[in-house]
Amino acid sequence: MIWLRRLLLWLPGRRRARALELQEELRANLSLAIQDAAESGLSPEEASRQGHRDFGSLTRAEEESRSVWFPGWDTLSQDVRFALRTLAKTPGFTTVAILSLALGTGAATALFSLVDTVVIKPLTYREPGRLVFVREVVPPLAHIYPTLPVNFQHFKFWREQARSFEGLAAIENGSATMDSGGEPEVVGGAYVSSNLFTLLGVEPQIGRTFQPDEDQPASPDVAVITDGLWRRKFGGSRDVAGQTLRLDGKPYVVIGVLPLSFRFPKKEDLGPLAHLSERSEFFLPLKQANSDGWGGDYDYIVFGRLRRDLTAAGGAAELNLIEQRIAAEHHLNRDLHIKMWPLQEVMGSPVRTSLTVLLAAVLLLVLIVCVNLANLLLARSHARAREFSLRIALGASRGRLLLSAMVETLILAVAGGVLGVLAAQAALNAFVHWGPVDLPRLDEVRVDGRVLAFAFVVSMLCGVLFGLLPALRLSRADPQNALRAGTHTISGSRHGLQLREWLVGAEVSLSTLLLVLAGLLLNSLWHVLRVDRGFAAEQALEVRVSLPSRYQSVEQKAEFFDQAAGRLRSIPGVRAAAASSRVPLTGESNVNHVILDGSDDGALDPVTKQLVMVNVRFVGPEYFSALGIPLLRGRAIESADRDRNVVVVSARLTAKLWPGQNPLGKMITCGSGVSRAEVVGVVGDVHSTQLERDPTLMIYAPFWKRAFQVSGLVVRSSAGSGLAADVRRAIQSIDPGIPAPRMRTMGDLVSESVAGRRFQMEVAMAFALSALLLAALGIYGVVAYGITLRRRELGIRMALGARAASVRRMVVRQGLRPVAVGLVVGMLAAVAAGQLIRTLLFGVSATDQWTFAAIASVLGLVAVLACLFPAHAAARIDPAGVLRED
Amino acid sequence: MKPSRVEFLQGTLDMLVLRTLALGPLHGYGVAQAIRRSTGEAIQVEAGSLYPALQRLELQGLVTAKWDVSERNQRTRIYRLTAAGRKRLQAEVSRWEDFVRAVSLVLHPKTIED
Repeated sequence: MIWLRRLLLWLPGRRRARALELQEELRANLSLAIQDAAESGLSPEEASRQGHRDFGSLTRAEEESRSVWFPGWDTLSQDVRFALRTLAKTPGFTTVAILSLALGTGAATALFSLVDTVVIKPLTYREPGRLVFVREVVPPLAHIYPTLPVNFQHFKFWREQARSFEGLAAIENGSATMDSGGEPEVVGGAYVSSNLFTLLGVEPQIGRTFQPDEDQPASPDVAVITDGLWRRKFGGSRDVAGQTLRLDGKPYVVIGVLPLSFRFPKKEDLGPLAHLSERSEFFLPLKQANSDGWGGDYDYIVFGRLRRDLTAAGGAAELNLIEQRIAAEHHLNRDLHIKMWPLQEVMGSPVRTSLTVLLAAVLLLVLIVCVNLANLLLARSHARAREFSLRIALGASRGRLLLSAMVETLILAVAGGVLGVLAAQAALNAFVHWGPVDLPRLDEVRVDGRVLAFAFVVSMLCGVLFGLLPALRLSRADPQNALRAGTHTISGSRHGLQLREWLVGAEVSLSTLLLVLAGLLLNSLWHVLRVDRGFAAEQALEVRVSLPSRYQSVEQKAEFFDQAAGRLRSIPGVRAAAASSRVPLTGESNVNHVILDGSDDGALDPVTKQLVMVNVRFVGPEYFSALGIPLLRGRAIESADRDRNVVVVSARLTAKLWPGQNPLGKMITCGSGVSRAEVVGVVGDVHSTQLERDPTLMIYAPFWKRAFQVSGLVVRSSAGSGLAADVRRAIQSIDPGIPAPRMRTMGDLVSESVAGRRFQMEVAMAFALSALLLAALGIYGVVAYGITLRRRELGIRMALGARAASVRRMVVRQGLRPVAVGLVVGMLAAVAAGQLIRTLLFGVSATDQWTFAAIASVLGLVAVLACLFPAHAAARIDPAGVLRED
Repeated sequence: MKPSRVEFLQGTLDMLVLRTLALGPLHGYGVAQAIRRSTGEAIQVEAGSLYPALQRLELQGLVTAKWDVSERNQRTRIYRLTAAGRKRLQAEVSRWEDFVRAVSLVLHPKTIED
């Protein structure tokens, strides 16, 4: 009851009102006392004096009443004021403490909000736990692609047969040129089964989503658009339903707008060969597949919603039974089956490893911060031991001393925490700006209540962790110490020094661990960048053009690209220009097996006995010279090849297909549009997917018969920055209705392809360097403090004839002892931790001796430096001065 | 001449205040005066002890206070004993009497033996 009433006093305004009321009451009663005095016949001044005396002290009444309302408040505010004063008196310590805390909490908070958004937060779909993502496993291809997207006929059969699902929906990529007035624009979109949105449980904010029969071929052309496209193209107008959207020249009626919170998976989440735009902004009903074959064309992304009473395993088992029937009924002669994942796991999975690595790094950093602060405080606690002993001698209780020591660290923790959250906010903004683009849901990352709560817990935990140990030691101070005279007698016990050494050792080992991991990542990046790419990125530019739907026939498209290449060649400075379906480092496409003369089956790898899978590229003349891909034998594609069935192949492919033979003149057939073509040339291997992966096997065919709607041109030029404008002008001079081409230099593509790795390395490096800095501070602090404690001893040694050099050596030697131990322990830990990040390494082993040696020397050097400063100070001790101090 | 002051035990003041208010509602100054008069000036209650005690009793729900006009036309807070306060007073008084009897037994063994 009394607690409740006390609690009510904390309500806003209540405290102040209560204090004012008390003041008024006191004044009223005082005037009663003065009146009493006046009535006994005293003069007004004397009456006032007498009244005041009888009444007692107003101030005391107010103060004591306050402590009735808020017990402990006065002591607490006293402690806070005292702590603030002591902190202000040692600005160096306070700054280092707050900054390192801010570093720790900031890093932890920024990372928590990342992990929270990307991995932890649930999808915005209804009951996302029942949503699954399905891919097929085609055994002959499994050595390259363990799983593939789904064949459309298989999908349709599943939908007819499977009973475990409330629904199954297929998705196919569909970008289009949007030309509803203004500059034509290429917009990413997708064809989807009409039940997709019902299946995901997404309600539109305006209008409706698709009805079940809207994916029938005869139904009208309708579109559902995202919130982003709605705002951009329709200005967020509420009566958008019924308006038309022109895509590739065809009108679509907009029937609904998805909510702002709607998220669509990204290509990176959905495994190899899954095609989706970078951002899908419109959805059209998937009316028919572009192939009705039962084998090949594994192109469709399939999601399903499991029935409520069924497990994922049950659903997978049923689909696998159906797959066996498909294989048998359609004579696919393959052990066809499926693989199924919870959709929640899929969205965000590719980044899980790197986030885990980051999280571990942050935890280590926070630990180092705590250790460092504990160390600083411990050193400080020795300096303050006299004060605490005195307070104990004067009767302060140990609990009270513990509290006042903790108050100080909690103030530091709060200040560090607040600064840390600000730092985290800044770091997140920088991260969203500069970070790798492939982080899913990155745009949703922000500092919210959960994140703030996390930051609070972390900083308080830090405060308690690093504050409790020194506080406990302080409150156990021996009161006798204070009563003995002379500051030098209050020295750290042997025990205290050892504890600080332990802490330094721990700090060094944690820093070593981080440095080694960062070093391994740095080394990997260096190896990746040194890989022979097979093409010359310098001065090469990729120009991607999306042709409007007016260009229908292959001849029209080929004609356009021929013309474009010609105009580009006439730009001053351009040395080569060629059409090409795709350039290196932009992923795989047109992947198929090859058939050689004399066989109906795909050619097998002579070593692994598995199907040889190739990527087909459709290129024009000058493609190889534009990219600097060396011609090894025969000739390149020429203008005269327009109607010839010829191809150029990559060196690795010839080694697999015709080992030890002359490949020129051989005939080759490949499903992706190459029918019995003659090999006329051999070119060098090119890294087509990632620099880290082996070069893909390639077939280059003339592009004239396979010109695409969206295709590229490569330009090699010595022209400077004006090139982009010239290229754009050249393209639009052929046809002004063509959307502005997208241009990227091959150098950009190379850095983009290592952006994730580079970022990983940079983050690890930032952590490692912070750790190194903290460790250096820790070493310095402990050694320097040790010297202030040992001033007298050192002075006596020097008075007895010790040389400055030998004093220096001794100080450094003793300072390095815990460093050496920490270094060894850290190295051992790094050997173990290296195994965990093995998958992130390239070209170096997890126990790379050079990395380890380099880190050991860097750390050793820094440690020696950190010891040298206090060692010099020790050598400058004036022995006469020290001896006189007593 | 200044009357001598009696130091008294913690908690005793609360009991005296409750006892005083048991006779009727009073303001703070009135309570102090009443105690002073009934102890023959032996106990003078300072504002620094009295008002915190009143606050404590109020928080405990033993007394209630209301702004009102005193006999001298002075607006002030008038304290009134609650039922809980009356009960507490009885308990305190009997505890005090037990205490006094016990102490007296030690101080004057014979007088009580009779």
